[in-house]
Amino acid sequence: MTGSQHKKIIAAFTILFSFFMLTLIPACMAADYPSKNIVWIVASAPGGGFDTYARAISPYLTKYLPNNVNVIVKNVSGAGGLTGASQIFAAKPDGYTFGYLYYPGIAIIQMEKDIGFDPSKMVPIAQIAADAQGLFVPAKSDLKTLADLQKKDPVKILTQPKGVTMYSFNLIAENVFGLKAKYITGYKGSAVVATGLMRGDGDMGILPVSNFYNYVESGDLRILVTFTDKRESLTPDVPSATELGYPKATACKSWKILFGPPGLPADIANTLQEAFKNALDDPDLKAWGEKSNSSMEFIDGQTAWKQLQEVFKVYQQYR
Amino acid sequence: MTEAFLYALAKIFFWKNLIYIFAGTLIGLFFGALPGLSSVVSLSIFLPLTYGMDPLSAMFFYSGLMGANPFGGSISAILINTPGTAQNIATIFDGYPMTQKGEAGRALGISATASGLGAIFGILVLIIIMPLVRKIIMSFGPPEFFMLVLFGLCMVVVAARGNLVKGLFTGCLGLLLSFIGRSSLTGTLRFDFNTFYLWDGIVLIPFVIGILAIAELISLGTKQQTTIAYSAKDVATGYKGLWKGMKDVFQHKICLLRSACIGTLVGIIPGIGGAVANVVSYTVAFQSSSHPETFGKGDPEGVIAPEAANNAKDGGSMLPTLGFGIPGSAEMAVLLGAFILHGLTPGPVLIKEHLDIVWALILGMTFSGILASCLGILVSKYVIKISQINVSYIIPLVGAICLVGAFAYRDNVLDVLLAVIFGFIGFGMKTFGFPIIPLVMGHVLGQMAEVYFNQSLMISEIGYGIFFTRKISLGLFIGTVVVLLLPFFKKRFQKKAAK
Repeated sequence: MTGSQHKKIIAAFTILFSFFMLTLIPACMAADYPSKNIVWIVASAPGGGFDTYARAISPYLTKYLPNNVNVIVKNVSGAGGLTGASQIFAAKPDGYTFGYLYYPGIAIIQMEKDIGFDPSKMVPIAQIAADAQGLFVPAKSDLKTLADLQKKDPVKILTQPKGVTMYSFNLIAENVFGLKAKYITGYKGSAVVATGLMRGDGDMGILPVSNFYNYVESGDLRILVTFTDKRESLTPDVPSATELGYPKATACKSWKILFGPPGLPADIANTLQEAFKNALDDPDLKAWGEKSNSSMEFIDGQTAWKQLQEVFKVYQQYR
Repeated sequence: MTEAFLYALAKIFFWKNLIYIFAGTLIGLFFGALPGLSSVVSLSIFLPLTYGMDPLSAMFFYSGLMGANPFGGSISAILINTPGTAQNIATIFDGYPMTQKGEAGRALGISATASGLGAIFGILVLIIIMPLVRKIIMSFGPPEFFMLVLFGLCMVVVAARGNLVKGLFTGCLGLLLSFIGRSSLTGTLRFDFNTFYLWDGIVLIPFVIGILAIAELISLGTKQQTTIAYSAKDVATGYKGLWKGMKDVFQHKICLLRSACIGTLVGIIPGIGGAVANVVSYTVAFQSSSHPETFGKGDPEGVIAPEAANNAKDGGSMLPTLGFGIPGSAEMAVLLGAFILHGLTPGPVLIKEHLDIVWALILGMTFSGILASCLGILVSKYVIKISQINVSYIIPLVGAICLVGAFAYRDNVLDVLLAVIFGFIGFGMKTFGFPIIPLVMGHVLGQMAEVYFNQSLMISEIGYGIFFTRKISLGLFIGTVVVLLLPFFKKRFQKKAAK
């Protein structure tokens, strides 16, 4: 072989070898997850409950994830959480994109129409909170117990419109408790419902206990029953739904569960899950939760998803 | 209550907090002036940045942002006919014509002064009303909200003088547009064409950017004049115009006071939003003026009224936001999130236990409103030159900012498409003489009117009677009728006086 032919062969070999090394890089990256910033998609506008949880927790995720990468919260609002959900669904399953799926909200919408993708294919990562709901009445009303409410005819319920989670809570309450309900819809959110109750627009509303407990403290509202198995620590005098004999009503909760795109490898999901578990155990984050009345409780993804399936049955029943 | 007020007042003068207010004001002014990047967007961007700050300082920073936004939005409203947000819509009615006449300096002077004074008067009114605030919020329910919205709708058509029929037409078109999306009442999806995008309807900010800003840019591009001002030579430069504008405000004290009161009151009432305050204030000024023909052509009162109102309303809208967790506007919704992030829960307990933070915010916003006005006056001299620059530079530059703004609102490319489409629609409307403002206001108020009307009927035990048996609702209805008929009464009064 001549010298120049020799050189050509070496050059060809070098190029081939480089290409081979390039293909190894993704494999290296996967083995070293996380190696760049992770995006946490919040499918609602900044300032809402889901958003504030994400912003409060994300620094702690950074703390407990290997390699100290940043977890960046990205707001993708629209279509009641579906725009964000579809973005998570369509993302690459490499662990660099994950986010909330709003349950039972999405399940409720799915029962009525085809949303174009199947969220149940997504990989559950962790549940960080299950917001307990309470049945609130104006403090000045003469309804003191659930039994009083069951006798009243009609019971004016203030709520967001059909298709939104709050409406389904009220449907379940109406059917499970046997209330003679008259629905007054059009209320844009729970704060508006609370004010409506205080103003005397209606008789009852279902609201998250931790966010509206301060209205009970200030003497504006009263809670008749909490939609939980056991009594809530914030409201030890208020009976729970199960205690009064209505365990099905405990389906009325708002879950904060994180999911990854379909096909997310189990080891990456586990890494994220571990990070969430440790983050929620962190004393500083717990202190924030106490101060802002934001309850947090870690449940691993698979268990949480299984629990949800049971709950969906209740929503299917009372549509 | 006074201790909390004094405590907050004292806290403002700490160096750290002054810096935060100043920083917030600068950023708020800058973002407010760029169409589409105002309040909601800027608040959302800076929300996470304050995570490490202590609550009081964070609140001072936010109040800086929010207090400077109304005036920032006015700058672009006056100079390029583009309201920064819906709360600056009414400023374009007389502010932009002033710029076209070469009086941009005067308009900015009026705006700065009226904004700053509006902020101060707003807080004075607030202090006086504070003990009654809870009662006020509790007395305003769906029937009263409906009457307010009705007032707003009637005023809109009146404000679209020139062609009543065309005004009514576009107003109704606006109403129709507002019904696209998921109904707040029944939850059904209307006119969504099976897309996620239209689920939330025609979203306000990209819509306003398109139909007001982009339409105006296209219109500028097709006109013969090469600058925004009709004649670049006649533009009053330097501080002369500004000074004249400042004097204008003091010559119309009644208008100022009245507008500040309207702004504060509308701000306190939750559920209406900031967009209404400035339009209502403008229309009341228009209706009660002795020379309404000058409105729309550059009447100083036409700038004083909305400017005072939209600054005054910010102090007022804090109260339902903090006291009941009901955001008075979209900006307040983001503020609520900021509160929770810092471990504060809005609600009656906040007002009882953290009154100092409430005052810190209100005072902070007032401060920044005044500061923004002063800063605005200083830079106005340079900013006026925009009306003298050749439009072939302005159109692409402002156009680009508008498109970025439409995207930045919620990171959705389709919003940009929406803005462009409505830009062309707006241009078409201008060309054929259809007033645009009734379309915008119809869109803002349409679904509100529908929801409140139906809610009232659902609550009512006496059908339609509910609107007329509740005192405030009845009062508002009579007020609407009176304001509508005011010009007729005035003419009769003048005829009698002439005899």
